[in-house]
Amino acid sequence: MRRRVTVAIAVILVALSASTSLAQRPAALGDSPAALVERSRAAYAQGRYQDALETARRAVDAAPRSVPAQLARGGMAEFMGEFDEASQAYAQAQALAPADNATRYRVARFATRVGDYDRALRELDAILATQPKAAQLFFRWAPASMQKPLLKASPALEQFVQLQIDIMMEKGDLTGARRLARQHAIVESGHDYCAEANAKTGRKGSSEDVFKAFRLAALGQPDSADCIWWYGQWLTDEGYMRLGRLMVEEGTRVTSSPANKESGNRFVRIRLGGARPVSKRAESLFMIAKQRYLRDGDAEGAARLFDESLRLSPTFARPYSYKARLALDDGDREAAIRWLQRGVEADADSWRTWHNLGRLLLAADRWEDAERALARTIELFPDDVGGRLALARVLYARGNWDGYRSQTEHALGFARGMRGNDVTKASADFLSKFQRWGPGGALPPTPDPRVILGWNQD
Amino acid sequence: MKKVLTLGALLALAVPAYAGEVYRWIDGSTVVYSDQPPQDSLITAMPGPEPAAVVIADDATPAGPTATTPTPSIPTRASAAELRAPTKPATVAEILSLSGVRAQLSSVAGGLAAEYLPRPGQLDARDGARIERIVGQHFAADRLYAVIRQEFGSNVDREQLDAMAAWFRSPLGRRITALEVAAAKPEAAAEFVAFAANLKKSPAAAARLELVQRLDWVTGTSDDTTALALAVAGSVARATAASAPAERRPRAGLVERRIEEMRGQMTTAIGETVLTQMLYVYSPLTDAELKAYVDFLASPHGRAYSRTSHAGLLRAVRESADRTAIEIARAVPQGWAAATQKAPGPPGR
Repeated sequence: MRRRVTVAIAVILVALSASTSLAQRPAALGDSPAALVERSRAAYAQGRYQDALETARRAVDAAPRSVPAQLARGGMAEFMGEFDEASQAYAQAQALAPADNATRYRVARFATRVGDYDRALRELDAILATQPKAAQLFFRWAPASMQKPLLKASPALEQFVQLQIDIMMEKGDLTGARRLARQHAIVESGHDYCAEANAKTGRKGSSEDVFKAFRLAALGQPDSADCIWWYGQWLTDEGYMRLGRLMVEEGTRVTSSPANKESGNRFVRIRLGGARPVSKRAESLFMIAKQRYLRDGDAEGAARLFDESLRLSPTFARPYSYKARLALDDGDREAAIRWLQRGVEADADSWRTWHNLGRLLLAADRWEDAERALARTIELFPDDVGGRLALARVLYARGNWDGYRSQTEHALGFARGMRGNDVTKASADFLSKFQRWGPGGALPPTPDPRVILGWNQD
Repeated sequence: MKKVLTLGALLALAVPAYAGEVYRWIDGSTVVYSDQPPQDSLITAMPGPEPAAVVIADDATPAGPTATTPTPSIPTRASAAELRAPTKPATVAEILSLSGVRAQLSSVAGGLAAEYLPRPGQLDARDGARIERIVGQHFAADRLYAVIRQEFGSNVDREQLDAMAAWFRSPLGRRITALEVAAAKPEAAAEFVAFAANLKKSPAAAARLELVQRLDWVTGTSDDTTALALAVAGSVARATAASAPAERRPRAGLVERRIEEMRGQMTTAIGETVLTQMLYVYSPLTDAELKAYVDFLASPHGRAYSRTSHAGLLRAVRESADRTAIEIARAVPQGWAAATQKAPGPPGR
């Protein structure tokens, strides 16, 4: 029985890894649909993403009834944030091969990316339903001790389970996600995942490692409020607005500390859109747009996706900051300021947008406006070291020496406690000279150090 | 050496300098000092400094870069009486003349212009001549002077001018500017190198170091020197970027970001060079004399002087630098930026 079940599971693995094995074949010559699909994959692997998408489109044009061509097009369009095109390509692939598990799996991933969680779970269930009954039963009900070695030996199966868990977490079904994680021995009782995650943070582990460690803590230790919270804050920095919000809210719910509850609620309000949650599709478009700009230098494509993200979630503050950055990189500071002003109008509690606006006004020597924006910045988030140091510079420029000293001392005290003196050494040296000799001829420096997880980037 | 001139240019303005031919004549009962010869007056030999009431000739075209090497007798300290002696309201032209700003602008302009010139042999003679013509046009002393003068005219009031004049007219003020001028001359370069080398073996006394640090602090010299260096470097970067083929042209804001990143790389090195230079320039002074100077520069009027002269110079250089670089990039599109590249390293002698 055990042997038959393992073989059955292997069938799933074959289905799941179909696209992988296709990618490993040597590229064929010519412009046949298969060759174009290969070329598209090669372009992707080489980081030529626009080329990859265009080649996949050509593959579809050459062979509209080719499932691999439709999947290649869907995959590249999804990767580039062209969601309507991706959706169309996946739909055509599914129409061509309704029982194809590789297609179902890709559709499930795409549905997750655009926030259609029920559809995603249905596709995964459909994949499982194509397996022999024994395999299904084993997958669903076999004890964790039997599941663990199976997942370890089968990366594709583990990927399948992890996707299920992610979908449930993002859907908001944390209980279901935890149950699934325990059932498949992704997490085990008696294991201190939270301590491991903290250790990885302390050892400056890779971002991916830290992310995985906190995720396990959130799944395996429902009472570890701090770790769940940190996971949420990490996700927030990375741009995962929806899951970040769910985790911060969960950490806030679980914590027994009233101060932490208040802090968690504030985080949701000033970092995650408060009462105006961001749609998953807008979040995904925003993250892809960032990549298209920062990684690929594709300003035009990024701008279009930021605009689309704003159309879907007009109060989502982050795209405003990136539209400002695009304008700034075009050398148009006034346009950048206008984008940030629109951002704070759209979400008046978005701390980071106020922070960016204040610092940009500071760079333009618009002291009065900068002071107003930066005062609001630190009102929203009093531990904002970079915001306080920027405000200190404004106050210094305006001759408000007590204000300068007070803001700088506050910022330095906080930074010292969090990260040590190195991140604000120049500011500390400047303050020391100010205290010894009075006001100097230059303005104080305004470092903007990364200080606390969750407050570092948009 | 070209980078030193960039650095020295601001330093010379940050700490008032006195340079150029100085004429002295007697007008009635008053002794007049000017960088321009008088009309129908008796010219006397340039004397050592003396606490005499003076008036200064009205504005005229800037003097050339040559300066007499002063050998002043040294008063032990500036008395309060010396600091308040004007007999006639001061003018902007007088301050710019007395402080040596005006007289130094030719050499300042020449030093900045040199930043744009190709290294020998990098471009052909015709292109080299084109570049020289462009930089000569934009880095003309009278252009820089006009901007600085306008800056003073807009931002400094009569009371401040009088207070500035009181310092610059004083014997100690004259002596210090003379030292600055002497140190800024090309022949002082070797002496400075030797001084800097010796400083590593025999560090400055703590009290002296504190004084020059405070001098740098109150004038903002390091910070503004960095800004000046960035203005020149940035103009080349902007012009090079703008003249690149469209498909390889970086976005304007990204170029600005790269330029700004250079600030962090320059700041420490420039700060150290400025302090060493200050230690060198004022080495003949006693601590008390240097303190008197720092106290003047730390006074509201001294701060106004530093702030205004720096702002004026920076504005003038930024405007000229960008125009110069753009015109050169248009006139000599191939190879100019590469031909101006210096060996990497911080500015310094």
